[in-house]
Amino acid sequence: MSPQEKIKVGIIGFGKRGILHASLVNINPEAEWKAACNPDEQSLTLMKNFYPNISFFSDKNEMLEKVNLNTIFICSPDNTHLPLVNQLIKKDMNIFVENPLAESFASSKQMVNLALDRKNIFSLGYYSPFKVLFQQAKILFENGILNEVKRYRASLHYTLPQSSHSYERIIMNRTSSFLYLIYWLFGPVKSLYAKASGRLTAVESVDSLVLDHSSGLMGLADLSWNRPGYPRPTVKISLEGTGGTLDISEDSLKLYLYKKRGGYDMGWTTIHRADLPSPSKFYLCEEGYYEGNSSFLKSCTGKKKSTVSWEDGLEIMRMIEAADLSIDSNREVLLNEVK
Amino acid sequence: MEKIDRIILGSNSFEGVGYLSRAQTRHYLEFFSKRENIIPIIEASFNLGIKSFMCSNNSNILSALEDFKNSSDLSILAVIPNAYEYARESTEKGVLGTILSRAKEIDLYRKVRMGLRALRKIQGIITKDLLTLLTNLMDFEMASFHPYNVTGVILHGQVTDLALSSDNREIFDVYQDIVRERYKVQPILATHNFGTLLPKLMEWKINMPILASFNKKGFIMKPSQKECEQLLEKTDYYIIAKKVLAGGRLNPEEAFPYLSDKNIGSFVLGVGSLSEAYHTLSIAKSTFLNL
Repeated sequence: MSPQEKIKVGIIGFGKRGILHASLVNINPEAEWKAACNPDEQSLTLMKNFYPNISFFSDKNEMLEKVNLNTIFICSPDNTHLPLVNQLIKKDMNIFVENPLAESFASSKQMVNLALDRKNIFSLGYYSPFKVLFQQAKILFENGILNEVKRYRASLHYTLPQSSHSYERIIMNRTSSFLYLIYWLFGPVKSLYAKASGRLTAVESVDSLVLDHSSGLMGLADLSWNRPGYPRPTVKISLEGTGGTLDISEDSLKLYLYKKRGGYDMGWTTIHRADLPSPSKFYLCEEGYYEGNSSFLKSCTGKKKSTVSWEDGLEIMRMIEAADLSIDSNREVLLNEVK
Repeated sequence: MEKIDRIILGSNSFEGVGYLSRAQTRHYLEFFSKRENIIPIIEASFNLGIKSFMCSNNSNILSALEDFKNSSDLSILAVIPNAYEYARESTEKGVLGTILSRAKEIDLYRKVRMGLRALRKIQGIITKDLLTLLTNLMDFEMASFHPYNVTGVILHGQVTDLALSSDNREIFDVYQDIVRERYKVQPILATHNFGTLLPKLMEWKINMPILASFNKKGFIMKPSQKECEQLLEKTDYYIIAKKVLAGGRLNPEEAFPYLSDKNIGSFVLGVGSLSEAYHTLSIAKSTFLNL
């Protein structure tokens, strides 16, 4: 594909995320949304009303056969990712998969192996690297603003509308996003210990994790899906260092320094989202989606490595697998035990 | 164009929407879950002369309006659809499933008030044309506002921006036709992407008031603060500013001077407490109404 040529995009799975990606592709001058498929005929009829110029199919094979595409966004259920990738990779497609990479570590590993040595672009829907506050937090942490950091405490709280097993997919999605944020900020995890009332991504579960990073940093994380007052998934990370503390959330960073350091005064500094310039040109639903989507498309035109790789996604699935192993065996699990 | 008041009371805080911190959001959710905490703020605003209220059909807000003695004297700018509730529900049921289950949930009283057999109609929408589909969905959303003096209907920003990204002029045409002809009020478009929406509307020769973020910090002014300001300066479209306090990051004294000389027709102001209502709205009156 020449750099001048538009990326021809198809969407598999046309629920909320499918609609979101289609819309973001549509406003990107480098790409052209051509087709979508979804097994539910009713919703296709509805969508044809809204997008009269797009080809909709209930069968993905028909879409792939009839429409000239070179890039696919997979937004269908997690357990469909591997079989789809198996098929798409033979057709020389660039592939973006909504998170998690697959429904299990084993499937994720197969996907990464399938993509090995391919020249196409393979990316994954984790959006933390595209949120300005998280970017700023990473810069502060990596520049040693807190001097020596020994530990962090992280939490993810969410109030599910009602307890139901149909939420397991959203819990898996949120858990893996949360773990990705930790992985992206603080680097790989060497070992972990998990305690939970069920499996890590069970609806009724209240989970606690102790994470040992390869860097020597230690973290405590807790996840709860039924805590009142959190209609939106809410992430908070508190870092404690010898030079001060840093509280990270999606709305603000709160820095407390024992001494003036790195251009910040001693005492409290609060940085809100509104205080930081946002590079995003378009805002849809939440900060980060446009940037994540356009970063992938840019990688496709330049054939350069995407910001979020499938290897990253595999590491997150390894953490989830290790957590479940730890819950079952009630012991600390080394990540390299999960193979 | 229907006249729109210079200052409008917003309702984000009553719906538990805040941008400053999740702690603030939790406080709003808890505090404004009681209608007796919403009513004094609407009343204070009303007594200060702010008689326009922008809100969605959130149940706490509707309940407060029912009990507010001057609600019939309020000019309601109805925001449809209630995107936060749809987004939340569609996590489990999917977009279409949510629409259908919403239709099933409405009681007979509401159906009568709506003047339609909502369930049958909404179940039928998926096979109909865009006009029928949008008409029925909008009827369903508007039913909650039936007792009040609705003077404008605002298409929620997320929906406007989805329609904008689909580059489908027909959605905007149909929307304004329905609002003008069926409800006989002013259609308004909310957006987070003023700099993309306005040129597109101009290209399509569609003129409606636009509700968009304008603040000193450039918070959610897309594609950039500079581009939004340049477009604002030259446009003859009626602009309503929202997020004027940059999601709570600015106080009124810092925020309002930036806005006062801009080509902005109206300002939506959200407040989270009674004292904030008196403070913010009094300064707004002196800045924007010279009172």
